[in-house]
Amino acid sequence: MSQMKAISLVARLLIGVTFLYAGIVHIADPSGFAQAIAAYRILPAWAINPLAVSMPWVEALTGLSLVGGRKTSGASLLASLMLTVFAAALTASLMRGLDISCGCFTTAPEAEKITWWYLLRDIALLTVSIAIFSLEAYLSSSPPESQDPATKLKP
Amino acid sequence: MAADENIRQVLGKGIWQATTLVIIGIIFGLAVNALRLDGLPLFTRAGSSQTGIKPIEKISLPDVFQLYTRKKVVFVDTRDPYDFAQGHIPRALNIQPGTTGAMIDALRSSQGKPIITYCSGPDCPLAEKLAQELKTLGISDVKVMTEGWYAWQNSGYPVEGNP
Repeated sequence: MSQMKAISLVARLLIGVTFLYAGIVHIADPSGFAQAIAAYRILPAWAINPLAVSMPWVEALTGLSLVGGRKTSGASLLASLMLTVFAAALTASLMRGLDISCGCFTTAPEAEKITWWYLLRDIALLTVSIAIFSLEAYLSSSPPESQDPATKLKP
Repeated sequence: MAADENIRQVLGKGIWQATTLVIIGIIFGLAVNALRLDGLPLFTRAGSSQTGIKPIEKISLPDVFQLYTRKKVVFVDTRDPYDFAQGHIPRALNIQPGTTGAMIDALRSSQGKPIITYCSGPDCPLAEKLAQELKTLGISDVKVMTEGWYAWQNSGYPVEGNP
């Protein structure tokens, strides 16, 4: 039980700090982030600026929630959703052969260009994020007094 | 059965919490954007020079040279100071993206003359990035010379610096 909690904590810190960092980087340079989004050539022009000003805050709040262990199921769900969207955008861009930078943890357009490695990293983070949600469901199914959670799950 | 029920419960709670986080995030984002000086315009009309993401107008090398000969233009070299010192278009300013702060007054006072940004060549994104930054700061008459420094140099146009 406490082992599960420890795993959950490490996973929350990993995803939480990642999102918090990305959020802060994007909040610092909205114009650069808008250009990074535009470079993917997925969204219509009218959607780019509103997304560039609001998404960084959603990222940062998600990160903060995970680090602080508040609203964990919501934050891990949201992180998983965002990472899925990022994975889709990366896949589309890589398949179209777009020579763009990720815009993930820096908004500099001269940063390193995206590769399949970026997708792999995203999927790894997505796996951890889904694990946090599953652990949350698992932990909340076992009241603290129960030593063996398996007994609780038996019908 | 209890586990299924539980997952459904946690999922429901998660969706509710996620929605709350998204709404709070959007409110914060919009509020901060409205307050900060470098905030982005949210609603942009097609063709408006205000948009943070509209591609910047390009200008070709011969047109640039014409403006140069009439001295009715401000050049901004976006390469690093070392390359700049080695050679640049005469009278060009040396400004990199993200460092516009110190030079913004000089650029604002030169309004009336178009600003032309350039970098080493077409593969370097700095000229366009700087042009975007200047537009965000309200300087609208900015064009990018995509061909860049090497094309200028190779055309035998005048240069300044210590190679």
